[in-house]
Amino acid sequence: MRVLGKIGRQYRVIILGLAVIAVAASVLYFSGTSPRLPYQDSFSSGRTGEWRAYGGNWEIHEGAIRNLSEERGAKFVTGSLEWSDYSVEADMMLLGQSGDAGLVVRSTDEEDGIDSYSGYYAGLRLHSEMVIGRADHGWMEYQVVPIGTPVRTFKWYHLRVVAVGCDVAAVASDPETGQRTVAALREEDCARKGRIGFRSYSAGGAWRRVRVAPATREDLLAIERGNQVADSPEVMQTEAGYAAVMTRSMRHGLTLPPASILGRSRVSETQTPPLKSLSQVSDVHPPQVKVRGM
Amino acid sequence: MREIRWQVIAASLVWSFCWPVLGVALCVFSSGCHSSKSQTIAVIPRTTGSRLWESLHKGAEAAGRQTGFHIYWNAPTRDDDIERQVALVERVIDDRPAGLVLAPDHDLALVGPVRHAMSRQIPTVIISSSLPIPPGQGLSYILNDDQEMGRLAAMQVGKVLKGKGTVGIVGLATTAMNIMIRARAFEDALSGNFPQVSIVAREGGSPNIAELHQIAREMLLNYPHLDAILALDNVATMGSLEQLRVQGKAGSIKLIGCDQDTELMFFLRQGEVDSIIIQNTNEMGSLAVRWIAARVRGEAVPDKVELQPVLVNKSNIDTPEIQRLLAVDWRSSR
Repeated sequence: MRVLGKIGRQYRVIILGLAVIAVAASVLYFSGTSPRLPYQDSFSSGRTGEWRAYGGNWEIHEGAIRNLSEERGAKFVTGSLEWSDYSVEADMMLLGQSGDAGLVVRSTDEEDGIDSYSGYYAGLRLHSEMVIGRADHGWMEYQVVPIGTPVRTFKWYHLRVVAVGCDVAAVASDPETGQRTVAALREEDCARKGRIGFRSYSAGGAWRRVRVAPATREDLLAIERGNQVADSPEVMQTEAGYAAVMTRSMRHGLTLPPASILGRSRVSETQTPPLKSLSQVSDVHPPQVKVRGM
Repeated sequence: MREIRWQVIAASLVWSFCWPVLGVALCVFSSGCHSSKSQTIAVIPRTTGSRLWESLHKGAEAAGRQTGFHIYWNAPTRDDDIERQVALVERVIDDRPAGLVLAPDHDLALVGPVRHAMSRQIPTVIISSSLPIPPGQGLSYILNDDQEMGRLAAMQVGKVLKGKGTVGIVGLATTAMNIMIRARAFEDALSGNFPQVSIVAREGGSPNIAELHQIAREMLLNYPHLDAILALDNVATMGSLEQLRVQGKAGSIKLIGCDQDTELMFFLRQGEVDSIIIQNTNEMGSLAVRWIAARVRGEAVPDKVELQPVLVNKSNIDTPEIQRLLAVDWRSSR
């Protein structure tokens, strides 16, 4: 310490400054700058600083954030890796003719890509389904629940997802009809912590009024009570299982969106000129040219 | 008091500057910084989230578990997004994985990235369709037998038309060598075995479903009395099916498709698609990972193998063999 005592005043100031920076950096490193619970968005103020996009084309519009792209698996993520038992809710709207959009919980390890994250996803699928499943750089669909009234585009729905322990339950409500649809899953070896996010698949989407708050088992049971909780994705992972679910959904009035699985948009039946005729639309005559050096 | 305060400041400085040193030390002593010890095999299909490629995922994960390798799985969100696949492959190469398994989106565009992987001594297996690079120097091929796919399609068309009628081909893509092989093999087998079945239309292909829809629409307008359609990949099959449904001809004009797809299989069960010839992508994924594991152990692996496609129709879709080929329960493989 004698050495330090001999250090000049100006050097002491520099050392002190460095120490302050180092301590601040350590505090930031260990605490992070991520939002804390409870959390609510600032979209109405035009702020998205704490959010990060993975694919898609995101913008704020009339107090909501919307993804105008129909990219499969576009994500918009915020929150903390330390968030564990919580509920997230938002108003959401589907923009598109097929596909689905919804909420992600306990998300970690996100990347650009269709199922490139680890976490859970619950969403509304055009035209009459609610879906819930597990993503772990791959997709495992646990439940597809038919919705009595067809899901419509450009209409606000309310979606709430609660994750407590190894249970994840979601409830979608139609504010016009009051109809509620529940989907829930339980996983033995589950993802226990992670961020929240919006995700859309083959459809654009809009989200607003996002609220995240700590949740208890009572919050979970309030959704799960009286509803089936899927504890295995296996049925949906086989072709026969998928066909059985589709057949059941069709009995509940599902109209099949053509080719929705690969995110292909439907083509209108307007009269269009033949493709082969398009090469003749230009009447520009190229000028005469000479090619030299051959 | 004064000395104690300076001790605290000095300790803080030492503490904060220790972190980078500790980080470097951890990196050096862990496997993360040693590319040669990477235990990750990157598997990059043309896209993900479809039955064609998730079966590959299942096979790769199962083999990864058996051989002790972690599987990194990602792809572009569309199977025509060549630029993103090139970028993804380049990023993966920079991470120096133990191996690379790639289903190229384009015959030529992926040549550069694959040569880059070879130059870094990363064992690479190209799956499904070929690239114009000879095997060797760490590069192998596990391909679909597209000749057989074309032959199976011809035999099925001849069978459903009872040896007489007209057929249109949709999905010809001159930039995709494997598609052209399918088409050529179909024409050869059809003319050799069913001379009274004539090919009256040969239409192009596209990864864009809207364009395919239009192509199929024009073909059906020009040839309203077609008896059958051969669609050379799953986008062409879906585009043709949608147009047949619009015109109320699904099921009456026999549609024979190529490459598996979740919804197409459902429509096959509904009788709107006659049959679909599927690739064994499950085995491709499994074999590719096992080959890379063998190369890492210093063992020799074959340069090239072609896997047999299988024709699926209503009569065999529920057999255990077909259900196994179509399964995508990749997580149970972990």
